[in-house]
Amino acid sequence: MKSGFLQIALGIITSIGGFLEVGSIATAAQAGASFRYGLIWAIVLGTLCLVFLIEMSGRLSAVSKHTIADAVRERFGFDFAVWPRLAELLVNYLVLGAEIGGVCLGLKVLTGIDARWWAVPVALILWFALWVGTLDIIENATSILGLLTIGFVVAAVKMHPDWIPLARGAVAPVFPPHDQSGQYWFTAVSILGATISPYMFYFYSSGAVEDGWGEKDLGSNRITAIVGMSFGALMSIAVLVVSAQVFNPLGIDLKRYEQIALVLTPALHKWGWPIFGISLAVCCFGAAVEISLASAYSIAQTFGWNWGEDEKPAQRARFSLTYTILIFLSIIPLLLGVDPLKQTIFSMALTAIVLPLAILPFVLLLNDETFVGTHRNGPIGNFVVTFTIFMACIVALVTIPLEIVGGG
Amino acid sequence: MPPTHATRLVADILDKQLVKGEEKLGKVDGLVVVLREGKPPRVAYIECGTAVVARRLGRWCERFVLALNRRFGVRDKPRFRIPWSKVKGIDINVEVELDEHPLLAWEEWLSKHVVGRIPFAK
Amino acid sequence: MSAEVNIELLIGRKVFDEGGKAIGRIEEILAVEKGDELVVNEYHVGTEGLFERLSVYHFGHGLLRILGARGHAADPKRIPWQELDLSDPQKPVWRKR
Repeated sequence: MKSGFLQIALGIITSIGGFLEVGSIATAAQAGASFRYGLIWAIVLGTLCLVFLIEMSGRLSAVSKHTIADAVRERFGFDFAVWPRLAELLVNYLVLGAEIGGVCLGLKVLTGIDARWWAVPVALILWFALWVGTLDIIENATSILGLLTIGFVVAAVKMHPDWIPLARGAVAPVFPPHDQSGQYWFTAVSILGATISPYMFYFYSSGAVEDGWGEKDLGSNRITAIVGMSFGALMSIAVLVVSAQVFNPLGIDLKRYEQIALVLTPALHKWGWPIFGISLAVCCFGAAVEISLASAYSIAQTFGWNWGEDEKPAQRARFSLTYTILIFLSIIPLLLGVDPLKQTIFSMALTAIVLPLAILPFVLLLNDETFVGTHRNGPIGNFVVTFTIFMACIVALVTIPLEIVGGG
Repeated sequence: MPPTHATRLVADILDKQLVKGEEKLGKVDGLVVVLREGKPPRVAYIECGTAVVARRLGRWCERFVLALNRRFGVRDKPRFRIPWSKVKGIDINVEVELDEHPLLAWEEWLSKHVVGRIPFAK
Repeated sequence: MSAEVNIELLIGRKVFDEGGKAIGRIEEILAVEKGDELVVNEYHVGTEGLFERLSVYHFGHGLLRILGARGHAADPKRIPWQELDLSDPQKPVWRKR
């Protein structure tokens, strides 16, 4: 049975991989640059929803011994399950491409070599890590490397932010001047879309089943959800705060990653640039690991194949081939010259659209005695999730036209 | 008056994980019931396979899958029946006792011919 | 003459009464052991009224049903096996005894 530390590690890696990744770093940096501390509340709100969703994901798996994808097919039938799976596959494909792009951008920051050249090597390293690694190794390695992101917190504190406006921005929207209203709300919506990613709770649920969680783990599941997601949120807020300190006074509107990369330099001097590069590469790598596995898990679980990261690939042929094919197909847009940042923003919008479909069956399962027995959702849990679904619908409705018009 | 121990064919069997010991064989994709004159219908077979799930999405889908199977050489039968007598238990999973079956044909073929050929797979 | 019916295709199908009116959809099938056979005992047909459909929980299920999800009958109509005519599996008919 896993020790408490390792369980928290699952929470942190889920967080680093899911929370802090190319989309959330980009949106947090843009939010800080354009609106100073005025959008911290969006990160807080997104995190709150995520804490509930992750906790539910763990609870469902621990009590029912089913992963989400497995339970969805069992409860709602194959005819239904096909739809969220297809949508998820499409979205994950694009997001994975964006994350690998993020790793490449981080490496570009470190070496100066163009992102496109890194696509194939990064895909190979990612694939190899999954091929030979076990869940334990991957969890621990990425958690430890991810601790580098504390660099953002250090930078944020070193720059002496004004704590009162910061606190204000954390609790409520700070309405900008009228002409900037559209961009403010678009950025808020992007933050929410970037924060709540379904692949996170699918990954978490599979990890919980593979690690053999049971009812006795419900307490540590709660702690893991809260600590893990809060850690990610803290890092995200740190990115926003540093960006606010560095770019906002200069009125810079962040459009490219190379600009964002300068964010740590004022506080960390010559270490700023490389730490940003490494942080970006590690976070996006963590996300790429999570998305690849989450996708393979969902498909394998829907069709009832043998799955699992701890066994050798030859023992899990279809599962291993699924992530292999997905990883190498996902770099195609990057190789074709698609801008990773644009792909990130587009895939975040798509995630928002798919979110209600991903969450709704999941929520219904958590109210079903046959699956979670006496551990059904309480009224608060149901309220938060219903609210998240409505929010996701609004996010989806808002993002589409703004995407078309070219917002952000 | 429903008897005390009844099995719900949909909630307890359909779409559940099919296992043989620890090994996952697939999902219960279909369930066949035989109608009889003057007697209650009998649960006869569990059905598994791509053609079975395809049929659930539509006849067109089933035809497409069968055509693919013909074209690419049949590695497993797209529709396999397990007699109900082979079912040993229904709990979280549906446990069956089968000697020979083609359910893992693709898994084994891919393991041997594709995955197995890639280094570090074993 | 023994005909075969695939349960996974039967559920969700509308059941009609002898007058041709739809009374609901088959949502569950109960089976019991009789000797060493497992035989069908009754069919559950979902006949949810408007009021039930408006509850939040059912609303959620209702939305999913649009995409083909299985029904969730709170209080189904129970039809004994003898009363459901499956000679045309595409059009089950309730022949009340």
